Amino acid sequence: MIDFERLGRDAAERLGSGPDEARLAAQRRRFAVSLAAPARPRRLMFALAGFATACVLVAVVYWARLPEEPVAAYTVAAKPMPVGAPLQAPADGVVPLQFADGSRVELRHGAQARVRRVADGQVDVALESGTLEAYVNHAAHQRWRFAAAAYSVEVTGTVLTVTWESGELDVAVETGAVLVTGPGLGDGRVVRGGERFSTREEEEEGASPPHDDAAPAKLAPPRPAKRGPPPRAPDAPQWQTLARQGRYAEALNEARTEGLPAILARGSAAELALLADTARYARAAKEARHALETLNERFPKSRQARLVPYLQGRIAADVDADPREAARLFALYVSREPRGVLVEEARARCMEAWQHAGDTSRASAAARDYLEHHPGGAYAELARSLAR
Amino acid sequence: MSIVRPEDTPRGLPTDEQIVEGLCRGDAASAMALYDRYVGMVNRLVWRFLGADGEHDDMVQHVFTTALASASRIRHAEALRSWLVSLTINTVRTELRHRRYRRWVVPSAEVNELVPAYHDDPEGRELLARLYAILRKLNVDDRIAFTLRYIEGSSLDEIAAVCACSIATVKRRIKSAEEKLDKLAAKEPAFAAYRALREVGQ
Repeated sequence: MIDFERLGRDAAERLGSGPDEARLAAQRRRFAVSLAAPARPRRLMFALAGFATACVLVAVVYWARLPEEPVAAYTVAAKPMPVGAPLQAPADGVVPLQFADGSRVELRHGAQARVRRVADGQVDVALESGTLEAYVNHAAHQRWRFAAAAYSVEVTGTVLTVTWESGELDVAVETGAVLVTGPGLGDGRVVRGGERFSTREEEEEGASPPHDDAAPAKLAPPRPAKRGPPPRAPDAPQWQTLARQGRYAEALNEARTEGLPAILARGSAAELALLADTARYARAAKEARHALETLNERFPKSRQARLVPYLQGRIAADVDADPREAARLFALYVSREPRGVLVEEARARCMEAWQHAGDTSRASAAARDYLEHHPGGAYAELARSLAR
Repeated sequence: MSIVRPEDTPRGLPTDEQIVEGLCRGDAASAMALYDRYVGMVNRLVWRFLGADGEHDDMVQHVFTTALASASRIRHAEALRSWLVSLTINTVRTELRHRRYRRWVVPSAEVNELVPAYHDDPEGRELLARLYAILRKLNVDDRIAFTLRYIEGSSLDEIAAVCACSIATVKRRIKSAEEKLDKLAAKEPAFAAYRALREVGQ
């Protein structure tokens, strides 16, 4: 017989007690908005109930095929906005778009966009210029698409940043996965949590001589299913396939078998970044650091190398449980990449790290710094509580 | 942490009694006070019942909108907490039954229950994935009783109170869940350690 008490305790510990701060903040805003909505007249409710009863047989079957409610609308600062309205963030601020399913999109620092469609389980956002950050709720029958000129980023549930500037598209995915399609991308590029994609790097790598063990992110796998295991790139080394399936401990063991020195010596920037992530998730801090240091040495000007201080901070925070070192590294990333796509995340993690370190004065200073740069940010409520 | 015993009200915040009075008047500030006091508990319960579910936020929202709509039924303010727990359980139970029904009507209907995709601990993620895959196969009431007992850590008395049934019924449901889970987990390596530990302990 299984030890259910121990199993339950372990499950509870690993599961935690709920979603992250950003989602809790979105939940609260959604509830506050629902309070402001006018109540339906009682007579109308009875009429609706009668109608529903009359249609029940048809509805049951239809409802079974439509398990999700469509996203109904979006608001900016609790004000309902029409589809197609031009939106622009101030040069030094953020415009938050709140959607009925709890998803949130933030236009940053002068970004211009339009919500082109919110209906039939489909949300289309056109990014005309600048950067947006999205927190998309995972829902089985809702499709999210961010368009930038001829490019398209299709989302199944994720936290991501999309930048469209000077004809270059940059997509950074924090969690989840997206499919990027557009000119020259064939069936598209799958970008997963912790990865980045940019059209500039795509062109640069396309211009260089091809090598046999190209990174799987650069292959063009078929459109992924909404559920089930991620698509497997047939030519990818086994450790990369395992890593992309989230089987990090196995992936790292496989990479060790294949030979870490060879991977470090010959891997592309994307492969080294993937190896670093794999080792970090497998809680192998030493190997994760080694991969990041090699990335810095071999590809110092790559997009992946710019993220190195941030990723080192994640290792210090998540694996080493050294919040002071983590705070130092997140601050280093912010100072080196003041316009980097993960700069808000780094500022938030910095304040959180000081809080975990028990240094309230530095946590408070970091919170004020966060609020100064991201007053409408996802961690603004946490920052306000720490800044006091 | 007890799911039914009221907690002390932090200084400067409205008491449960004041919140209930405000809700009966339709006071929006009381609605927000209710939300702020209990949103953590409701989130935790839904999360533990279903894992990182695609409809988690909708269910939390549904619990609170239902609470506001039926606040006039609350007779005793000291029962507010346990009433919200019951409301949460009913919301989850209804959702699970709807899903089961959807799968029955449309066998290909997608299962929208997940474990955290971003979990940094691969073994933990595997354990949660396996555990929730098995929980999905249990009777809904058995699953709720099992989750409250072992994942939430509630006492039999508390479970009986929030599920509106006798302690004997709670015991029966938990036993039924244990037996089925034990059988379904027999060939799952993820549970081997829990079986071995029990055997060593015995």
